[in-house]
Amino acid sequence: MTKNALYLYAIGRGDGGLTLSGETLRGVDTIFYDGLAAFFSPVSDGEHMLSREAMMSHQKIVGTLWSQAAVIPISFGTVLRDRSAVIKILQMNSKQIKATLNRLAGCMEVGLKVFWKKDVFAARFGKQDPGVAELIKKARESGNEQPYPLMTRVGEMVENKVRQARSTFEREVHHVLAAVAEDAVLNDILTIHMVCNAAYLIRKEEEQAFDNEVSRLLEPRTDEFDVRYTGPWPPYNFARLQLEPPPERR
Amino acid sequence: MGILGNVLLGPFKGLWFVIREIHNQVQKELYDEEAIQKQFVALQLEYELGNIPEDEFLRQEAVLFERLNQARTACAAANAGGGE
Repeated sequence: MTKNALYLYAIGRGDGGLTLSGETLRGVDTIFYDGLAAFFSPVSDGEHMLSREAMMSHQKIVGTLWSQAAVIPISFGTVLRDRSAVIKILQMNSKQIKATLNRLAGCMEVGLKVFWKKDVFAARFGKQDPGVAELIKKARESGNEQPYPLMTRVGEMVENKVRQARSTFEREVHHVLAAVAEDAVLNDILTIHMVCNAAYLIRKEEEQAFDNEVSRLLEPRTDEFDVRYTGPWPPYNFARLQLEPPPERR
Repeated sequence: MGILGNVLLGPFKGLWFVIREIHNQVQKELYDEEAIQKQFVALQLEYELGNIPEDEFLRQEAVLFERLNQARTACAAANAGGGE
């Protein structure tokens, strides 16, 4: 079976000083077009099954490319029909891709996920909250008479308080960090205990200063929060291009 | 179909609508790539937080990969059948 399809990893500058040497990049090839370079591996049509191994390999290759120069990471599992499909994407989106590469040059991404400690959450928003305790008491006293609407009100009350607390955290922490970063995004809240799910684009030479700012803001709050501060990562959250035409997947 | 037909079949049409909606939602949950990717993120987080053990994480992750592959296959078949 001929390998006409292309599994895409990243797009960078054609003159970006990237070299495809080393074990990790074995089998990775390049298509050049108008000063841009698309990094790919040839695959047979329909051959590429998505798996844990494939995902780890994708991350490793993108990470290796990104460690050499600014690249736009392509989503895991993107397969294009043939070389002409890749060239068409580079051709139609050249301006947007170059602008994004300029913006990402010399930068790295860090992630910040913050969670309330479970006991803190229960104390702050659960039965120990006077308003919540009062409603729960009412629900119990009412026996089978309309406990459901009361419990719904309990849920709404907790939800509102959690939302307000998240807004306060955003104001006191996220906005402060965003102001010293090149760019910042707030991603979806994934669990009820999650306070903040953010990513920041920072200049590589500012990494230490940014780490210090994270510590300054969050170390005094470690009794209340569990903090997961990770990176450096390729800038997945800051290279989301709306490419035309959309990649055709197989 | 006349008014009588509508009256007689009304409840069943409503029921059919509900069944169809549930089916659509289940299909979306199972084979919508974006939905699957969100489940990957949520699963990864549960594992990172220590809420599920590694073997359970790997088992659930394998199921999601399987569904992602099925979604891709279904999408490719639909594209091939529906033309460009």
